[in-house]
Amino acid sequence: MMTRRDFFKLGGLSLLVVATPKGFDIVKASDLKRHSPRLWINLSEENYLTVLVNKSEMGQGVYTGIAQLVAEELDFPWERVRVMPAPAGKAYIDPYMGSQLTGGSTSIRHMFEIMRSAGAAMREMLIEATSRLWKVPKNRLKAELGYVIDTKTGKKVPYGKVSSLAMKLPVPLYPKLKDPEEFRYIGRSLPRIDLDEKVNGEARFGLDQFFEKQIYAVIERPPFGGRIVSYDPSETRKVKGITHVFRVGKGVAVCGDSPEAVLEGRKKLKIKYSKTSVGSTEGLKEHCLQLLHKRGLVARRDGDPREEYDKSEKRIELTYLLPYLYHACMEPMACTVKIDKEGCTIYAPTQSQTSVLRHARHITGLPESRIRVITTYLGGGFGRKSNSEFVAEALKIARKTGRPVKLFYTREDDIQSGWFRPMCSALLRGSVDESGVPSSLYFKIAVPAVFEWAIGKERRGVDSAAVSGVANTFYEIPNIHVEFVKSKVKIPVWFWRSVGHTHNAYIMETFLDQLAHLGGKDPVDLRLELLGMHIRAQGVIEKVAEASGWHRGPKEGQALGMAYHYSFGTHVAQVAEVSLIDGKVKVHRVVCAVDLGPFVVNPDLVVQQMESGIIMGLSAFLYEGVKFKDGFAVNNNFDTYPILRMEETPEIEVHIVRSEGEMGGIGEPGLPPIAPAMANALFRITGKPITELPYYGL
Amino acid sequence: MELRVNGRLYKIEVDPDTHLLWVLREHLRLTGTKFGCLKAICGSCTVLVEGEPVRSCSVQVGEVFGREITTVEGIPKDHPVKRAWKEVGVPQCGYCQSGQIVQAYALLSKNPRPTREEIVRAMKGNLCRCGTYPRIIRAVMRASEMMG
Repeated sequence: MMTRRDFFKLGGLSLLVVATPKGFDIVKASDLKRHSPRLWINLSEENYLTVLVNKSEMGQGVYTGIAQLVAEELDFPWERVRVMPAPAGKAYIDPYMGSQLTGGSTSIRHMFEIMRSAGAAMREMLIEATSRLWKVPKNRLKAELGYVIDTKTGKKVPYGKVSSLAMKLPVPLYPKLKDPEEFRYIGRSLPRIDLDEKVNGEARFGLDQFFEKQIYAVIERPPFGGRIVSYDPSETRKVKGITHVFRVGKGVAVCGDSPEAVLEGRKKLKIKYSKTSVGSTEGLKEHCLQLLHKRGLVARRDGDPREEYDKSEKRIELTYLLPYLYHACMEPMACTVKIDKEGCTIYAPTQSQTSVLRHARHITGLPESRIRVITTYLGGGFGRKSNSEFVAEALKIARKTGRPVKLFYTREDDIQSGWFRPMCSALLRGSVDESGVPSSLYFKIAVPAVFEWAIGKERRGVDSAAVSGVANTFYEIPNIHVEFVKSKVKIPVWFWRSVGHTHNAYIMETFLDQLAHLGGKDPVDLRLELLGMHIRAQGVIEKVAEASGWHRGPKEGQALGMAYHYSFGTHVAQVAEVSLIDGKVKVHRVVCAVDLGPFVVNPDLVVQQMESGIIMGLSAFLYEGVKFKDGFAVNNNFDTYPILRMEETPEIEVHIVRSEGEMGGIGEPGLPPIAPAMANALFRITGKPITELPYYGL
Repeated sequence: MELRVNGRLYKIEVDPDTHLLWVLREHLRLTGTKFGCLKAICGSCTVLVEGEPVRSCSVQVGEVFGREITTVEGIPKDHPVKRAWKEVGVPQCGYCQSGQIVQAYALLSKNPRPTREEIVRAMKGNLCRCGTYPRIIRAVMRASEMMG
């Protein structure tokens, strides 16, 4: 990866993408003398293209996807394209989000037009510059794979050679984008741009930076719903290499000359904890179920589901209980910071540069111009790294000690820091009419309000995450009631890959199979029937049914289960081929059909994200759930919080279905359908609905 | 004290009970080796000692003085394992991949033609949260083909 300093030395043609309240605009670097640098795209005289990406690379392939968009319209050789992370700053915000944030499976959707336009503008400027240089009309020239070519004489010049000339021209107001038939890169599985670094051990993550006189730090944390009353550091201070022990945030920071010193020193802390309001898993479950007796807020009401349910002969009621889930990024939270006279430098694997900057301004008192945020690669994010508490802690430690700091969370710290997918319970009632079609659906969920935790204060109304995918379901059921009861448990919750869709898809799709069973309908046929107006939804269901051999039925000793869910603009249907031997689940194959609209920038990256979502969702279904005792997470490493391993990974087959209509995201939508598909298959074997997760028990 | 890593001799001053992981990362600044669980259960910190894969978070440096240590940086860039990893497109976030690559390299050094079951048996201690497992299996098979 290039450094920022390298980048500013580049000559040639540099374009800026400017975020305006109305969206994006493109200008030349030289037009903005008095502004800070913005989202830059540079074509150097040596004919290299460098793209600064304002989105974080956490495995989803965004560096590759965004670079592909620019290289496409510029028509530029892929091997000469480089990327680097954009700095943090107002200039780099995503105007559709109002902040510099990677989340919600939005990056390619939000950046699709503007990054293409920037590439197209460059291309037009290079043609214009060449036309003036050679004194030939523009329409005789074409730009192709890094060369401007005279179509009459065959004479050609590398873009780089005319880039400085092009820099003197105005930026075209409406650069013409390619027709999709002309695409060279969009729709092609170009190799990821971060491959070399990631196979050679050169990719830099949160702990891979070094400063002179740096110290290391770990933080001991209180129980959830409690605090540290007092601590005695005297034994800790006797450990060789310990430099500082003090309170930071809700915890106690132990700092020293080496990672081992701080780990050893922390063990010697004598801490008095307060009582906790959170308690233990059994109490939390009980409390969560009790909340279903409270009256909540109605998110949607069509018809009269209660009346319909009461008068129906065929009806069913189920209560669900789903656990807290931990993100389990392979890279625990880690951050390297330095504060000195010149300012503040932060190396952070963050999904949210805006919140990092906010913390840095607040803690250091420095103006934004003196805060330098370098977004490293993220060793997994899954939503967790859009919470910047870990950066705030590192900055506070650096400020207090006056030393550069490498703050790292151990695996146990990472879990005890919280910010989980919330536990939730749900009461479901449904009925089917004489023809076996669902006539009513009552859905009441008790869950913490994730968005309240995200903004840090109470909010009125229905939390949109709590009812996502249900309040806006495409299924046409005449009587629907959706209700939300807010849980106020003091365990911090946050966005966990696909957020509310993780629990709601599970509840909705397993309950729908129960209704299908009650009405004597085939689950695939029933869904197609309930999705009368939604051809994209039907498209993925038909595709997955065909590719999985749904109507042929399962192989001997196996069962098939299917689920469909729409999230983040994308339709996904999955079929799981499952068997159950001596209580042990075996998933043989998962077939997945995905429709993310007309443009699939990099099909292999889409396949990667489907595989990734399926494996993470399967892991959660079988094993995952945080257990608590006296406010502490007790299953706090991979020996007690297992995640799926290679030997349990099924064969995965992904089909991309093309359609017209809105463009969808890809990082999250692959996850929600797998757990209900699994449960639906297992129901066909055991005849028992699975209403509590994880499958193997907490 | 002298440590042999990737064919180079390093003179270091550390307590012999310091874990190899931290010596590699913080003293030698070979940051390709990753920290994940500190309990030898995730495989992110895998390195080779005399060709044997070990979890460097749980090996004290004093145990490996004078022995040949290989990290991800020491596997040649054009080695079939790395080429196959790129060809198949294994990495997503990339954090666990150093450990995966070292583990696969060790497997293929001993067993150049592993079956699917042998690959899974050798690799199942290396966790990956991005779910690159199906591609790791494919990449090990591809590397095996490349090695002829």
